[in-house]
Amino acid sequence: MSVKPHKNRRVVWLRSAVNAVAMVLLSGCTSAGLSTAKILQDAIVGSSVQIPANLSVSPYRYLWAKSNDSKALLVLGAVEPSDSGSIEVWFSANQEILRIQTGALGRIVSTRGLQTDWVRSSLRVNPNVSGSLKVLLRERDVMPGWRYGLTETLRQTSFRKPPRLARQKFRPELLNSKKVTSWLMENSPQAPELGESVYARDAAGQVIAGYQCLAADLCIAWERLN
Amino acid sequence: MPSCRFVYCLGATELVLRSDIFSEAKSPALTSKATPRTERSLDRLLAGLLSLCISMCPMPINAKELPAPKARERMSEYLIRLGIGGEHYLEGLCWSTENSRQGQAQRLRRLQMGLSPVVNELSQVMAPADQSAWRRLLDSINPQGCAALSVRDPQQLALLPANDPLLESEDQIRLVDRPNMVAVVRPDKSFCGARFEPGASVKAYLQLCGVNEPSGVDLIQPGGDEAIDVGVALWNSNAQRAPAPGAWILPHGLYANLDRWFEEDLRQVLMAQGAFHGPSLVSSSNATNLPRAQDHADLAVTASDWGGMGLLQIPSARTPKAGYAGLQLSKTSPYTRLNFILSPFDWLEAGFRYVDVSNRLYGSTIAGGQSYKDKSIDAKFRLLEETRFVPQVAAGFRDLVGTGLFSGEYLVASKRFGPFDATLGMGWGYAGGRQDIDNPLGALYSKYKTRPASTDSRTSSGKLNLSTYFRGPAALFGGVQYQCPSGRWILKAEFDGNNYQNEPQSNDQNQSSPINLGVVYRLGKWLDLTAGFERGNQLMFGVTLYTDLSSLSTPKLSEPRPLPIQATPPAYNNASAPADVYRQIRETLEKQTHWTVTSIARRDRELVVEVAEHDVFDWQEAIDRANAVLHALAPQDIRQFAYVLRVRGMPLRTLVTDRQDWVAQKTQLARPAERFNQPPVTPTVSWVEPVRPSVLDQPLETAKPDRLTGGLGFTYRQSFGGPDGFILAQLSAQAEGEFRLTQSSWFYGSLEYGLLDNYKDFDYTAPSNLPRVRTYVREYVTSSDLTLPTLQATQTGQASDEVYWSVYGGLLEPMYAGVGGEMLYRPWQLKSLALGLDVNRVRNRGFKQDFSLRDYEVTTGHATLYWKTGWQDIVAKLSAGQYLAGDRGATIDLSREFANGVRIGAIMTRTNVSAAQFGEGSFDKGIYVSIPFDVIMTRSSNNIANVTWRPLTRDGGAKLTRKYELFELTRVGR
Repeated sequence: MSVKPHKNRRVVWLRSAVNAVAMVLLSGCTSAGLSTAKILQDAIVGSSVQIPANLSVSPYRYLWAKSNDSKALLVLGAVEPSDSGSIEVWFSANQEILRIQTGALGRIVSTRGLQTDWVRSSLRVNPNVSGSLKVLLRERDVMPGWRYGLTETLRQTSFRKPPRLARQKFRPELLNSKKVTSWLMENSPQAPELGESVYARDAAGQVIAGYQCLAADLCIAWERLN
Repeated sequence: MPSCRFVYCLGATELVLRSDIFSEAKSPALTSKATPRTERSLDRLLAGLLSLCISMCPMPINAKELPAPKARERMSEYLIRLGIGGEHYLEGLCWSTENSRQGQAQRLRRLQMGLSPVVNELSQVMAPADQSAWRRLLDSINPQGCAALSVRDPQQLALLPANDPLLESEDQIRLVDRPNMVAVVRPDKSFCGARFEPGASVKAYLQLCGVNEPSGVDLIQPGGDEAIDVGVALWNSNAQRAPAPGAWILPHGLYANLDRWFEEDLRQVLMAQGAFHGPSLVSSSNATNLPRAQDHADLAVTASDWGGMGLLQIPSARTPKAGYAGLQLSKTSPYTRLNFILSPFDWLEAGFRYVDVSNRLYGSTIAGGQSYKDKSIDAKFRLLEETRFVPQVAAGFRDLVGTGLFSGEYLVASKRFGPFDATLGMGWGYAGGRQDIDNPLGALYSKYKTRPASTDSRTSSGKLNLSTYFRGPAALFGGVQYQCPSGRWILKAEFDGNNYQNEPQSNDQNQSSPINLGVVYRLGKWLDLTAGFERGNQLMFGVTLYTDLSSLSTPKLSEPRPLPIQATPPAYNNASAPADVYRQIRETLEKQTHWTVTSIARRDRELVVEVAEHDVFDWQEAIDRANAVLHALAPQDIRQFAYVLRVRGMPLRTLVTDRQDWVAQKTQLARPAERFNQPPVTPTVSWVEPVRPSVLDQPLETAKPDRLTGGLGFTYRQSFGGPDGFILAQLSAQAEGEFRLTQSSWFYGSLEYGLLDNYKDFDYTAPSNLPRVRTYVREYVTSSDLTLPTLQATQTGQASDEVYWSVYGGLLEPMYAGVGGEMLYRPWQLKSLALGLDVNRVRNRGFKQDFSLRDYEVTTGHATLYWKTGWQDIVAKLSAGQYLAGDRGATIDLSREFANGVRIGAIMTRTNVSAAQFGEGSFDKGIYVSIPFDVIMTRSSNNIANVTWRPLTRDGGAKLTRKYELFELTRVGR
């Protein structure tokens, strides 16, 4: 299971197809006999993930995550304290890490092992803006490339019903869940490449699921399963 | 104008501002307005107060030394225990051990000693003022001795034990808060702390600290893992990363006249200092105007209409990076060019080309209405690399050994000015077709004033036209390209060196303007689209597909997940081990490694695994996987793993791993003392001489490999540029099978059935003055849809530890049947040398590739020297002997092998056949690319594809194609 790479995986698929053609073309030039059928079989890769039954009695807490066609189940490995509440540390089987803030500011705040990692990020309410539209300030450090100290504002809009983006990105079980009482859309004018984010909130205003882009080609939908 | 005067001790445990060693920091940002005298006084007062305050503090205000770790505590456990997590600025984490502190202190002392009056090694080359400035800077450094850590996040460390060091109680761990500054070493050898600005480039910090543009800098990011060479001048600016908070910037040129060790030691000292932090001294009043890292881009080096790097019609002095492979199609009426360019070295680009001349016929008698096709080979050599004041210079040859229709030579220089890259050159022959200036070389040698007629005849083409190079009238050419900041668009303008009034085949073209204009759009890092307007009246269009062969690789997603490595072995010993443990080991090994394991035995505390066959390219990966299996399953009293590698029954090598060392290597980060000061007592993986393991006579587990193997697939072949059509191609279904009599003797056969081809157009049989050993290609590929290309029996053996042999007989290849034998001397200790000898008696096969034979029979064979030269990764294969046509001579095969196993090479054969006898092409030659399947497959594979381009298939210098060559059979991965 891997959160990585929906893009990586897609690229690998694309490359697998190109490679398959290349290997047919090259198969006449090999140094030793090789079955092309075997090569084709090896060139194509795939993955699937199944949500375990009996989640309610599982000793582990699971996070469902999806990025494009790649799905993964992550397990809660640790909870770290922070100034703005606790942060859950989720592990994938591929040694990837998602850190998700708990509470009303539930966001992916940090990742490790993805093709683009947010090394850390922080959110605070912009004190300079008042009115009905809530504006947050976000600062983040991004790797690779040492893009540190990126600062941007986030504009939020609330909805009672799931917006279209939510309907596209989340499991139907979540969309129909009574636990979700409101939805929050968020975007940043300073980081248009990240597009819109959407979060599901419960009656207490806690974020229980989210869809968030860490880079133009890396967006992750996540949902706590138990 | 001085704005502040600071220099301070650097380090996390001590940060002292000392007014006596303060240096002047001039910042354009701060000096843009005249600083009033009162402000300057205030600056000094504040600096003094700050100095006083900090010098009284035992610790810097934003660094904390963490409590001592417990002995043998993991770094991850330690950090988690202290509540340090993702929120902290872990780039500021410094782990120092006794050894790392000593190492850095020694380096620092060596630097200081080099400057001391007593041992003044550098006094000969450095002015006294410079010496004292260096001394002040070195004195201000308080060594921290931070050891390199590739992973710092505690949770990630816990997941990646190989990166997670075991701490000792005397280790010191410090963590600084996120710094707000970046350090720049000024030319006056003082440190300048510039306020961190997100996204600001190295150049911005240099500006802030008043450092005039150096050619480049070393950028040390706060983790200190590496120093990156960043170009910041107009001529070498490259794509770059922004310095992170706490980074260090060392401009080049500070070390003028200093030995290299001084430069290297200083860099190492700063890398071990951890993140730089202190009060921010210099900041910009307008951060938004600072140069941004994202605005810097690498110089765009793109293909000309001829495939090689350049503008449109004219070449530039640029060469692509080693590993470049580009396939380009470009059209400017009446010429359509298909160019294939390779770059085995940074200093060489070479390739071949097919030119279609749309208004000339190939030859009505042999090719009907097909337009004329010309083949040619190009090469360009970089003579000088660009520096601040010197342009890059290259010399190039077009149509080097072809018919010479477009042959030309040039000398060209290119100089970069930021986004502009200007080119000026002189061409001869077709490259200087304007012919409007006398050849300057004519002043030295009168024979250079005229250019002999091109040797445009079928019998002499293919030779190097040495008598024409750089001769005759010349022409100047030049141009400039501009790359847009996005790097996607490149605009080109050039003055063409050709006026198209001396075209070959009396095919002069009208030129309305000598200025050509074009634009390139770069789609990702693999496709360039070019459009242009040339000769003042012609549109040009080009498509270039390119890649970097040296970086080809594919994630191995089809491989099973390696077994996790536990720090402790299984609880059982040999006596208490499960009954089927060795069967489990064999089955898991085969699943994990693609090995065929034939037996497992035990010798004292060593487990010996015999590997009969392997399909492995990356041996390090395979051994790690195998070790993980053995460590997970083998009884705890096993201390050593030995893998006896065999191929076709021949024992090649034995690979030995010390279990404990290997586990330590994989489950903890080596401490600095282990990494730098002393080599491991026992190498964890060591190659040893092949041993005939008598122990395998009493195996614990055995298995017999399958006797019959085979598969179905497809095969494709094509030929380019013949008179019957530009591409003649065939796609066939292929069945192949192998039957093993023993491990070292087997039958192999393949059967093909043509599915798709355009061979109905294939009419031309090339003339030949030699026995027709290869030129009956048409007859062989068109006589039957169902063919039996190979059916042979082979036996291999080993005469001694380093001498291997094979004998074989049958239908050896599509055109020849017979018998042969080969011996190979492969001294494993030398690694770089091997010597082979093969002798074959073969007979021409029938055209239908069945069991019929034709009359021609010959003895052919070669002595071959295989040599890894050790110079620029060049591999040489030199062979001499008798070829299929009975001609005698030698073949030279030179290639560059990249780290991923891809090779780019050239091959040339000269025999005692004259050029006239040989026919078109004069002698056999070709260019090839050798690609391991491993780099394009999602699973590991030891197979290699060789794609060779030969301009012509002729009978001279032709070799027998043997299915199994001992050098390849005995190759163990890379």
